[in-house]
Amino acid sequence: MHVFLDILRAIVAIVIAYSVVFVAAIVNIWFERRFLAFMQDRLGPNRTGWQGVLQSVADSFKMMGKEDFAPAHVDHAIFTMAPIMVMIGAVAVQLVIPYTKGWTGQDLNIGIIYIVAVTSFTVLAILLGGWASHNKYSLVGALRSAAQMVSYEVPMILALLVVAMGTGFLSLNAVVGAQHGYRWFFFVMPFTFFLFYVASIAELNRGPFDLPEAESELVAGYSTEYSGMRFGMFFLNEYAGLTIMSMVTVTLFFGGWEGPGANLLVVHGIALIPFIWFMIKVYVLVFVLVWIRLTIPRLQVDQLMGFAWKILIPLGLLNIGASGAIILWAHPWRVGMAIFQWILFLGFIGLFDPVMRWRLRRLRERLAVTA
Amino acid sequence: MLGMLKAMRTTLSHLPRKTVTVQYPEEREVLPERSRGLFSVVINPATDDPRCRSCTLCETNCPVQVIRVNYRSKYAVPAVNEARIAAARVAVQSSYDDKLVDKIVQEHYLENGVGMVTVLQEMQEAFGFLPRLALQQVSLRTGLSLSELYGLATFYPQFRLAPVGKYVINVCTGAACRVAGASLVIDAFSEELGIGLDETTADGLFTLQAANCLGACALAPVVRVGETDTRGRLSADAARELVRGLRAGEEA
Repeated sequence: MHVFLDILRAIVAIVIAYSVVFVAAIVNIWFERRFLAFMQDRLGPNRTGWQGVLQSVADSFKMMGKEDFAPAHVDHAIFTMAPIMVMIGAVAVQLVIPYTKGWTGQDLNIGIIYIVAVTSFTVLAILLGGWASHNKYSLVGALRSAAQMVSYEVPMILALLVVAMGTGFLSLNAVVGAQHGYRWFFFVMPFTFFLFYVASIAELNRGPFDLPEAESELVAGYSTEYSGMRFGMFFLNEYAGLTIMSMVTVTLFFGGWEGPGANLLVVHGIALIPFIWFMIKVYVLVFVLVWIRLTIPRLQVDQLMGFAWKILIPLGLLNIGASGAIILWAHPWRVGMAIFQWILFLGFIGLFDPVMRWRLRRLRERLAVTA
Repeated sequence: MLGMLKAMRTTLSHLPRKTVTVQYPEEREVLPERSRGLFSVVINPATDDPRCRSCTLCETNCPVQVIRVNYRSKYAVPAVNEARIAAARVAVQSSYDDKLVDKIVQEHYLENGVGMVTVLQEMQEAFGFLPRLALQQVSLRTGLSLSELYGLATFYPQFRLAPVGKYVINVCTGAACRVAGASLVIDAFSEELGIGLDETTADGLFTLQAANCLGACALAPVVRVGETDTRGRLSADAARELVRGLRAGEEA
């Protein structure tokens, strides 16, 4: 009986995970197009269905209706495998995410490490896709993408470790529990949040870090040879990633499902209202991602790498050392942590522009001498 | 980072703003009350003749300056040979008869300038215009300065200081004709003939003049050729055709 329930639970979790990926992708494409349009004083797609909600459904049907084409020179097995694999990260991450009070697919006690592990599948799939395409542009694009994602995984892990230290456990339910009573980690460790958020944007290959497939500037990178639904899988994954990454962010920094009225509507031990709070928080963050993409122009490739290796990683190391010391010795550690992190965060925000300007000026002076 | 935050504030401020999109078949842009849309010339399909005379009055009067009259004649513009015209004028002026001038002065001139208008009239009748040499001679005979004579001759529009052609074309520049595009008719004439106002073609056929009013405002713009042939409602192209017709008749 117990085994049967476990199997049922696993099936439900998998079905939910896949549905969330597809539904989220379709909703997010519409969401992004609509909000980008509004912020550009346009209307966006509003014809198909109520306010255009069915637009991306129609688009995905169109994509599925296309010929399943593969160029003659590709490595067929891997070429087909890559778009399937690219979904693994987005689906598998949801196993450990506590959607609501009383529902987690499987509350792994190494949840944070698990997240880092499975999100790397996306890099692998992109590399495979680029390699299997037998096309130099695809391969270079895939390598560029992999380089970016691997680089930004480091600050991401550095940020996750601070969260793990603050919680004392690696389980995501424990992370949510540690933030109970609106002591959200965002308020306690804003700089860590900042590190994580920037890194997650880069992981998602989104603006301003969308160099791997900068539509307006480059050959489409690793997806050059892909078309039809195979391309659609990459595309859907990218947009599902918005929701998945926001889910992780909300769980880690915004108290997960926490919100008022958590115990009002409980069905078989699963509280429903916190799920609504969870989704609201997730979509606020998705909106922020859209907003950032619209506002901030794309980086140069050297700026992209420089930002990860020269700024985020040193600061992440500083952050992890100081936060560890504060957690060990300060009492209560949350106050000390909040003071330190807010100073670091605001200092970074305030000093970033002047320091960059100073560096640029120095660089120009040096160039003037050599020229 | 502060700059980025500032940029993000700007983009966010556009979120609640009204969109600029007009969803065409359902929505129509509300035009200003006095909007007249795009202007175009109405062409009479029967005669292939534009009602517009290209008078450019609309262009100068348009309060928002959206009208541009782009007049294109169907005729090519002949080059003006000024040297040729000047040579012809000298030839005409030097062919005057000084005996005749003396005779006119003796007959009509009294003293102190009295009778001078009659002298000039007689001279114009004799030469067709007032040659400079003749005026110099009158000045010598009467003791009046040349500038006084010129002052008199230029005061009355009736006197001409240059020879006129066989066909004197008078373009009416009265108010009605001016409004109806007299200046364009004059331009057409002067381009076709290769002369300016109050000038004569080298072959001595045409003289172009601007008249103050020919008294046929209903037919504006009006042109009179010689003393009798009056043409109304003349467009620039019709003016060119008129000249060509006269020239062809002369050559035939």
